[in-house]
Amino acid sequence: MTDKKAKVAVLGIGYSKISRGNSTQSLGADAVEACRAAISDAGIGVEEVDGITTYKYRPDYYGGSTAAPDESVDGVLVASPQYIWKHLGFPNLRWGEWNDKFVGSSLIEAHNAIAGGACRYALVWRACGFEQGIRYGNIDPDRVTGNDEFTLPYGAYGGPPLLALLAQRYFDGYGATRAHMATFISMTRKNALLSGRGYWAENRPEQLSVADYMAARMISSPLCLYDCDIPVQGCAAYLLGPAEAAQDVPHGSAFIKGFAQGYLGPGGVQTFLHSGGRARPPLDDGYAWEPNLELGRRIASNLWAATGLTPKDISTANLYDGFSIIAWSWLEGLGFCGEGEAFEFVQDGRVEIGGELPINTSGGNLGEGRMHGAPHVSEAIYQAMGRAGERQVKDARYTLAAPDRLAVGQAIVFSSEPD
Amino acid sequence: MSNTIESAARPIPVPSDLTRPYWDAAKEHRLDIQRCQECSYFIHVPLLRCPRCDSAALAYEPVSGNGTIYSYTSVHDTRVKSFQAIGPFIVAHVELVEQLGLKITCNLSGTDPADVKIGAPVEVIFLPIGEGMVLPDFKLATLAETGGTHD
Ligand SMILES: [Zn+2]
Repeated sequence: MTDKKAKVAVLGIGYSKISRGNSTQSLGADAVEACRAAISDAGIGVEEVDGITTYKYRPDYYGGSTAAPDESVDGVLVASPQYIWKHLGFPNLRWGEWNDKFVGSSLIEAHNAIAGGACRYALVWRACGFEQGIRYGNIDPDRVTGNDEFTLPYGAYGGPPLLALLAQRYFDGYGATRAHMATFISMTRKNALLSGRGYWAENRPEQLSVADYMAARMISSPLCLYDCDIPVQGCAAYLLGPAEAAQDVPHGSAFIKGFAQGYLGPGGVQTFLHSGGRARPPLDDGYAWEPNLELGRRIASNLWAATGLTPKDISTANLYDGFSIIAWSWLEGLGFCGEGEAFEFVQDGRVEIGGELPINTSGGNLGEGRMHGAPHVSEAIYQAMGRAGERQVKDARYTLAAPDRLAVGQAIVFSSEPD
Repeated sequence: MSNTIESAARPIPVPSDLTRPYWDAAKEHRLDIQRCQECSYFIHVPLLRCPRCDSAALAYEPVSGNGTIYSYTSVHDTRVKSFQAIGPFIVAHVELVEQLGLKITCNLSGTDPADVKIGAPVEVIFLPIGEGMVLPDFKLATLAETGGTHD
């Protein structure tokens, strides 16, 4: 596909420490640290950065009754473009925004801004935190209005029960069990500890055995504690620039080969990225397996057309696993295996490092913590750059990140070469 | 049985103009679902325009109250404080017989969790939840014939 030369590449990547609120610095300081690291990793100066973007919401925001971000939590629970601009300076800034879709979308928007000439170097970051001193994401409404009228009186709220509905439908429909999930989750923890970054590696370097998983307390059946990522504080950042700038970078770059996106709303499958996807009606098909699979196939068809590739060309994939079952929906949706096959596909070492299709080689969200898709984007970039250390997948020519729930998701393919 | 779903202090819906007909029908022990008067598409939760044909001609119509369990979960750890005092409870999506994919959230309260299976036929019941409000819920169908296929 000679006409599919990458226009934009990820040239640098940076991380703060990932903590559980035991950090001595604020989330804002984490974000500044990660952003500086990404710029420096690309070998450029702050004055060369002329575009910035990030994702808007805190991870404990689920729409409905909970509050949207505001200025009073900037630098504490979010790190806005204004905050980063204030602390880094950017004397030559030309383009900046924040969106309400995950970091994969920020990356796509930065790509388009560079390709369209709105800026030359764009900084993307994702800062995740959570409110300290209260039970995570708790709400206590005695009155509810709007969409919540149809869910909260039943106690149906937050990620776990909704993703559990997705999982139970899959388990029953295809014969998957928690034992199938156990081997997958155990592998992602192993990968996370190899990577050295993320909550578990940095704070609690403990392997998670299949037996540990099977004995874990239930959150919302069939999802147990280890099917849900752990809330953390930290920031990941990426510096993007034109593909030709890669030759000046002192290490490999990750060229953006192509991407596709989708949304499951009240109107059914849509293959444009829906603005406001977080505030969707709660009873849409986003938590139903069959519509997810249908959307996945549509995203896949656009992705393979955009990249000129097929699933067989992908060396390694990083599939969103804020709740474990989502990774399996991406495996089937993108066509890495057939319908109803994901739970068997992930067995027998097939998706381990060194296997047929290594996935989530840094452990994903389950391994790094609730960094909202940043782990998947980061690892796909590190692998394409050839900088994944012990986790490096051999000849990782094309790497894939699907860094959100399929129902509001996007998939991005990175290349180790400009093609 | 003081720690079961029956004793949960449920948040009370405050209807809007858009949702009031649904709650008014529930008070009369009737399940009414919003329906597009142009293309006959059933819509839940209520919207201002039909997601299929964009018509604003929407009205509430009674449905049979029959459906099947589409999926379910037993919630052991909830973020809704008033449900933290009770033991594990079921949250289920029921697919109504009137339309493929037409789903409604419920608790299947009073149903033995061991009997909760995907595909099981269910029928609507109505629970008073205080302040005059009545909440539609579902139970396993008692009739041999629970009627209806998707059109
Ligand atoms: Zn219509």
